[in-house]
Amino acid sequence: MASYDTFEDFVTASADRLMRTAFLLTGNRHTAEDLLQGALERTYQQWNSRQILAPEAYVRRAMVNASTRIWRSRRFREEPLDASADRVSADDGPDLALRDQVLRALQELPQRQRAVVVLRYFDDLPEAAVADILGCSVGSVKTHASRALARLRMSDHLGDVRMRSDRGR
Amino acid sequence: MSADDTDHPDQGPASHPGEPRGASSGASTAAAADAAFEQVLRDLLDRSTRQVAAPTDLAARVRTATPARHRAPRWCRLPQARRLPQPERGRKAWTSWWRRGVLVIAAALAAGLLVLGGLIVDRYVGTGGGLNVVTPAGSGVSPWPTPGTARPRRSRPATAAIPSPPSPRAPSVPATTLPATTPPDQATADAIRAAFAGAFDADADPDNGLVYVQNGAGYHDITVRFLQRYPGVIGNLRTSLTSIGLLGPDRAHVEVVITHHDPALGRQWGYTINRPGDAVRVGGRWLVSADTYSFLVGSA
Repeated sequence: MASYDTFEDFVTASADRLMRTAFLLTGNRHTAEDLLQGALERTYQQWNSRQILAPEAYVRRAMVNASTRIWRSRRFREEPLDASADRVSADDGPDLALRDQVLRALQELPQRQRAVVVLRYFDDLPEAAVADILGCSVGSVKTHASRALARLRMSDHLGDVRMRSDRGR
Repeated sequence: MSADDTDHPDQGPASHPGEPRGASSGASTAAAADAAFEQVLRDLLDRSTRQVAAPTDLAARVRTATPARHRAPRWCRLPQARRLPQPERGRKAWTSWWRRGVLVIAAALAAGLLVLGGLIVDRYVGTGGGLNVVTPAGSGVSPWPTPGTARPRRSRPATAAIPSPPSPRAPSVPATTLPATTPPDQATADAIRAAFAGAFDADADPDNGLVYVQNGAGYHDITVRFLQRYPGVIGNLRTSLTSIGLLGPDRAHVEVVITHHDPALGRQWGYTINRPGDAVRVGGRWLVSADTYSFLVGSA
């Protein structure tokens, strides 16, 4: 595990990766920025006073908890229209379409399952680490992952993806 | 991929003796499909967020928004500038500003009411206000009027000053007009000083000082209560007269400065009390007038 001398070093090294995690958790760039900044603020508060052995795990846990709170506190769910709001460059077209598909498919998952998918398959964390971040058992992580995969395989938004995975079988 | 897709019959050999051939091969196929789908999912998640990057000034934002270990409470944090322009944060920021506005208005109203209440109390109740004034047994006149009644005038010249009510915030408000006085000779001044020093010597025996007070016997109880209430004055109450002026052959006007170290009296009156007072000559001896003594001791 990487150790960081200063908080700035940690942010510089990890911000992009954590931002992508936050983006997948929330499905919205602005909310993801808020989520990440809030988690980093919590981390920064503890940075000097308490030795954080795994700052990235700490931030991820803070983000997952905060995203769950955001999800619960929202009275009205937002429709993800983020793809059209993002700046599009000339070669961004296919990626934006793909992002839209993935985000819509993830939005269909319950918050817990989405967190498991993001941590397990995007951050490539082992099941034990995911369980530690989510504060649940490894078996629970497996269950969530299995159900999430089943849902994603049935998702209409990932139809061509399903075909691709079938082809690769 | 649906479950139906993976449960098709397979012609491969069974993994274990006695196990149906189709079930074993179906499970292995499903596992392979899951692994393939997981790999595709990893690739998808990676590709779909490849263009997503954190703001370049994120560390600075965090540091600005969060002074380590000294963060303000959430209710009084100013909204961060970057959050205001975002449309989805607009409602939240507005709510936040609205809440702070209500808090500021409530605080202003509370402060205004506090000041107004203080003024009303000062105006209609007063520090003495007849509430904590101990009337001397023999004087028959309260040093302070009850609200709504006129203060009885003493028999002194028309220009006599009316002492203002004692207040810890304004303990020494001089009279608006000073009485017309003539300077006393040295012997008279010394006698008057001796009378005040003796009356306010504040030793443990109250009767020692009362011999210097007009109708002093009537103030025994008041003096005892005063000493019980402010025991810190015993032995360290000092008086000095800053001015002495004769109002007539048997009456003099003085300005008294009383210093002491009693904390209870200090909280109420301050540790240096400047008051006007009178001295009267009775039987050829200068004494502290009954009004002055009852006011200074009785209303404390």
